[in-house]
Amino acid sequence: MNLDEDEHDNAPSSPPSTSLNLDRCSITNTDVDMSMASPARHSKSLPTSTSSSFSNGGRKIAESSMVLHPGTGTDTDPSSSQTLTTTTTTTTATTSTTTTPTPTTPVLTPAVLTSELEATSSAGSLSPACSMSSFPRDISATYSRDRQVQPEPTTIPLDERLYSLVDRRQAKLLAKEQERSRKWSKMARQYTSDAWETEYSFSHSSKFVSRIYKGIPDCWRAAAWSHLISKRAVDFDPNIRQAYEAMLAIPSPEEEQIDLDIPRQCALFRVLKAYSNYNAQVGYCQGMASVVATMLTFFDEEKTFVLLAQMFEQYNLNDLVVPGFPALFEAFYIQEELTKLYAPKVFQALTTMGIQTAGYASRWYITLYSAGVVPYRTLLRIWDIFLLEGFDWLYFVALALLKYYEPMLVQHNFEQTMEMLNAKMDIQDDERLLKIAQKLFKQARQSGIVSRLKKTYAATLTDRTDVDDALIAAAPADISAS
Amino acid sequence: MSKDDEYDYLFKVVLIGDSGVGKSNLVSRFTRNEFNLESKSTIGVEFTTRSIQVDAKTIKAQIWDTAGQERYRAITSAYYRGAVGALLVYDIAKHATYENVGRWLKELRDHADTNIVIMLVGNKSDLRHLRAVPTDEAKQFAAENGLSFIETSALDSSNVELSFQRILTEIYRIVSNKALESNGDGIRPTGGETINVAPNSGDANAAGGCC
Repeated sequence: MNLDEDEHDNAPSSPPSTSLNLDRCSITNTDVDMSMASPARHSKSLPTSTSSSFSNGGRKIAESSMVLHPGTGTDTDPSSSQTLTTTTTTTTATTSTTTTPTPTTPVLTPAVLTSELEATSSAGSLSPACSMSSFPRDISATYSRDRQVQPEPTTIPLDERLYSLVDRRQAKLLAKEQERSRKWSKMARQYTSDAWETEYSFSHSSKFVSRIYKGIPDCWRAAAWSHLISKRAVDFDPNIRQAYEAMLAIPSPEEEQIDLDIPRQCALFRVLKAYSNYNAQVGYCQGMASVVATMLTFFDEEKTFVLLAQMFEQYNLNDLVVPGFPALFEAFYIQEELTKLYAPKVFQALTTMGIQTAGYASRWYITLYSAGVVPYRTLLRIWDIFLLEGFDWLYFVALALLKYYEPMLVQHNFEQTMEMLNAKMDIQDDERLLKIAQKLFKQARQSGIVSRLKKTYAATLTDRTDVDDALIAAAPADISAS
Repeated sequence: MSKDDEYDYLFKVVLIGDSGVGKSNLVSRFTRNEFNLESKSTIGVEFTTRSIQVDAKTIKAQIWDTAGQERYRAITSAYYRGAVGALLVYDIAKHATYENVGRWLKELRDHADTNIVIMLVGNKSDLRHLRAVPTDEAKQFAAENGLSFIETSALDSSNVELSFQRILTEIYRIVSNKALESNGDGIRPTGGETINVAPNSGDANAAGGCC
């Protein structure tokens, strides 16, 4: 593929058939982070159109009057992209300037802000993300019809004071985000990858780690994720990039199933198809789509494919989704044991209600929380740390979710709890959730409990048949037999 | 704990069948009167409830919707246990989904209770011009295998309500007759408890090597 999927392809000058559109696959942004900046779209520059492809204007962010003009980044020709890259590097050091549009591509203005936030906002683009080409989108809403409609202007409360409150809160968030972006740009070292992409590397200092726990700034997320995944995959298949085209070209035994779930024209479909060929052991498992869709909001198709392949390999995700789901069942066991230990009241409540982990947590693990388990902004925070720490982190996210809802869990009945755990969890306070998870994760790492539990689990598997028999014997008589 | 618990009977019903036949939409049509053309695939199992009235009794249905993709049976089959009813769904416009009905019946025989009431549901009856499974053929198959039969459309909602009504009523008749025989005690369907979701022994060796 030499063409990136282009989310603004309504533009007249976009290549008509080859340009791909995430929007067409209805990945929507119902949950745009109010805190602002778009993530950088990590993509190769394209020898396609320039100015006119950005004509379809700005996207409204929530109720505020801030409008960002999308554009740049994905659609520039190679030469202007080079210029842009250079400009980016230089601006990272200067806080007051924004990325200067190159003369050849006058539309590269990173952000046009119609509100009084203009000054602060534009200063936020001192990062690889100064190409504001995309927004975080809520993957959970991907296939959902009843997604929330952005309120019409008429439905917005007209109270001016409310506006100013929102704006002040936003301004505060923006300022914070910019401050953090600035720190990140100081940590980053830019280089050009073998695939001629501008990449960033970071030294794994304690500062870097703690900044990831605080949340990667939106505009640094693509760069950081790419770094975290590739860093684990140093010796990974060097021909992976070329594999994408090859894997796309051949039919996949999973194609029919993928086609049932995803429209064929989508970048999402193609990445899933190519990957099912590339990793035949995994093939395609329902639930992978939302993982890939999340990645596609940050990276182009080919890059998504590369990172997906590296991630599955390096984060032990194969066993999570292969037939038999061995790592999933292991996760259930570990989560239950950890709950027993760290959240005994929750464990007691769930046990009393007869709720087993598989009844709600399959979706949590298989989709890495991406299928509408938590709000999108929370998901990104979870992934930031997941990509840093690895799979074990996900057990503690589960545990933190249960602990977060403990007050309700212990009062609810079976049905209320099942419905709550199966729905999207309305996390109001990301910091609190992540603090719980982080604290337990650190505690557990010191005690080595997870690896002990893995050993215990492996041991129970060897006499699995006995266990099965015992469980069957212990099961209560079914009602129709009563 | 018990504000929603006012019912006379609680029946656990599962929906099974191939991927893409419309199980989730049947459930959402029945429980929320919603239909979603781009509904997302079910991962593992999903749970909802709805109560209906039969003979002035409140029957609460605990509905377990399951993932259709074959590999998910490792997870979903554990949920057949304790179910008193199953809607085995196929797509009338896709013959392969009907051909697989036999395999799904075997799944039920292997994992569900022997007395489970099964209803064969030919969904997407709105796709008249694309019909690939004749009604009579499916009806006959159902009769031969002791299943009830209905055709539904979750899209235009025809027969959706009726299908759930019928299966729940049928279960109710069986259970209340049994209750009469055994002096009416002990009809306390389970709340999904004690579902064994361990992997099959065949998967055992694969699990050890993770992380």
